[in-house]
Amino acid sequence: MNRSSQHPLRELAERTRHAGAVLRTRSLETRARVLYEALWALADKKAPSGRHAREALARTTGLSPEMIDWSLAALPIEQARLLMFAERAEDRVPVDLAGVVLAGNVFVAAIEPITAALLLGAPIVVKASSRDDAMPRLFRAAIREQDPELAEALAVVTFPGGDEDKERALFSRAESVVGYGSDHALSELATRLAPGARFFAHGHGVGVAFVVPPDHDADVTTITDALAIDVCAYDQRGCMSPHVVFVEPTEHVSARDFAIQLARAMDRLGQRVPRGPLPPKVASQQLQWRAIGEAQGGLFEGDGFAVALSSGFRLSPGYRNVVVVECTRDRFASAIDSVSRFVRVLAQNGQWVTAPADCRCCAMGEMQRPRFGETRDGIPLHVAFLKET
Amino acid sequence: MSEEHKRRASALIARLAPPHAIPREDAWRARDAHLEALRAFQKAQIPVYGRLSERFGALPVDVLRHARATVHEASEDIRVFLTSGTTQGARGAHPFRDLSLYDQAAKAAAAYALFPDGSLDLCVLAPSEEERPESSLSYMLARFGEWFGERVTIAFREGKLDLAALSGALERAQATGRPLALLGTSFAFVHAEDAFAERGVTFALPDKSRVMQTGGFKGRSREFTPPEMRSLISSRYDVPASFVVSEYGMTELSSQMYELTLRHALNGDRAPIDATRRFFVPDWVRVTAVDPERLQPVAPGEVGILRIEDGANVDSVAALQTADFARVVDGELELLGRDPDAVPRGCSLAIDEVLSAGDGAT
Repeated sequence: MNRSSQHPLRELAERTRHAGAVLRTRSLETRARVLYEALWALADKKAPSGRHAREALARTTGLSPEMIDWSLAALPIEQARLLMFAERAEDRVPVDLAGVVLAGNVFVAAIEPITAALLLGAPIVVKASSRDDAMPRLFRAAIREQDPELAEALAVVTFPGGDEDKERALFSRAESVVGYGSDHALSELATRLAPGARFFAHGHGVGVAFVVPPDHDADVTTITDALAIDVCAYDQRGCMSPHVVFVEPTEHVSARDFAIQLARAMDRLGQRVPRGPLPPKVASQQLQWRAIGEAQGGLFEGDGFAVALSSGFRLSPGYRNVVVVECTRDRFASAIDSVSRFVRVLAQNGQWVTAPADCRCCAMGEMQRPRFGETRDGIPLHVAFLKET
Repeated sequence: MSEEHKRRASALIARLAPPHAIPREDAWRARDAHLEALRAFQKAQIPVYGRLSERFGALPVDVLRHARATVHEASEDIRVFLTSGTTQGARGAHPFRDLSLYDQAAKAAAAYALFPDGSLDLCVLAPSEEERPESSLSYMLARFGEWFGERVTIAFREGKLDLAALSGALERAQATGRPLALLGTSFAFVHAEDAFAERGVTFALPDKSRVMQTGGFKGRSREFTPPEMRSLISSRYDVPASFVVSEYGMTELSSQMYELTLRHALNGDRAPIDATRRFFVPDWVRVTAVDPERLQPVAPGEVGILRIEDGANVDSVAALQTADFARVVDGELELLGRDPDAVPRGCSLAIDEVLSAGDGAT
């Protein structure tokens, strides 16, 4: 008997797999209701689960309490949407066990794969980030409040990524694994899955926006307010966070004007939803990044944010630092050429430019709030949790 | 005006040469006065520095990847050193119209920390000056060959370690009993280590042989801590750990910093060599650890990002803000690198990751 077969994580995975039978005795409607109620319990700041979630996440996420509250309030998914998603399964059978590996940068990323798996009747083992494992544990506790037996089909474990023995043991029976994280971490993880297991990797990514400013000031403000939400959400730590906003100048609004307006919008939002504390490494990167903006003659900064004008694509250190680049629609493709394969989301206020392959397109203000079940990185969410036909 | 500053800098550098009898506090007072005069001069002469100095205290080094910052015109350049481009797409530039201060500073610091006992045979594990004229390291090592080298071997050709040349130099040293100085990048030493380990080859270099390694491993496939690296080198070449010296230099500077373990060992000092190694800061350079957000100096011994004011950077900006974390203890520098804490990046794309994937974002 090898080490892996004796491993407690293997036993946990086996127990979770068996719990799938109980999960599937619940009707689809029941599963949808349980998940919906669990999400509402977390979203409701007056409910015990909601209060506990806010306290726990304040300790682990590094986000401000206001940002956590904003994020949790957006958690609930309408039951009708859950049921619509489940219809995609048609007559396909759920996998006997799914796995998911979460990253620690955006805590709400735990919700979608867990919800999808349980909704479709697939038990799931979750390797949470060793940096922040609060959200999947909170979600499991909230599900348990609604249906303790159903919650047994969800196991959450925490250990540092890259532990080969543990990863092999945890995913030894998983038919499919969904991974979020760096390209490097995911490529290593792929080598540790069971033979024949399918792997759905959501690696490095970045968001961009393309704007043709409208003529009226109020309309520009509407766009900058929405973009400010995209930049500030989760303190710009996600792979869908916009780093660069391309602006095609008009007779009325230059890229510089737009950058100033965006800075004002970020300032307004920051007063209501402040940025969390800056890690020292980011502070060091931010200093260098902002200095380049200042040297290039366009840095608009305030308490916890900055907008820098740039002549070309420039990644930001995150944490509410964003670049504005003057760019005509016919030059957009070449402007993102060096990073196009990393572009996960494109937001624009019209149909001005063509998105790179497998890139999600959306309106301003929706970059960090994809709808539940939307195809991500070209991969439909449900396929990971259903057996191959 | 520039000439006056150069004379002052030159006088400060000259004080490091033996007998080095001036108390350091006196030297530091002279340095501080020189740096203050230089700051005022450069703020007036270098527009981008003048604009940024109030906001940032010093010039953040990444700016040099996007803007020229010298007191002289490009037409006067006689040499431009370029950074490797590992942290941004664009490469930082350090133009010179006169290398005499650079040479004086490099020679003085190396003579103090690396060659206090005079010349010896050298083996260079870095590209030659001809191969990489834009590399400040290659330039410096070429000068070391002229100043401190009895016989010089370049064990690096066409971007690769020349293992045959390195082996030849090592075997010659063993055969002749003449001490050898191996000088190169940390990563070149890793390549040598891999090759020799695969062949099961070790060397026993003569007494007083030494190693100078410089540079990190950012973006490389293998990383070692400084103690691990020191231990590998020490074992492979049979050189005492105190004779394995790290150098800290930057393209944007004219001056270098070294660990003093070799000097102490040659002087018979019994300083514990495996304790935290610190870099000797020459008397014309001021190092300060500052808070990365407030940009104010942190308390002595506390960790901050490293600000370096190099009194030998007369024609280019002397006061530079690096991204390296460090602490300053008794005027000496303890480097902590660029990653003292992990950041929750997850799937969020970082600049280095784009570059390591082979695409240069500009």
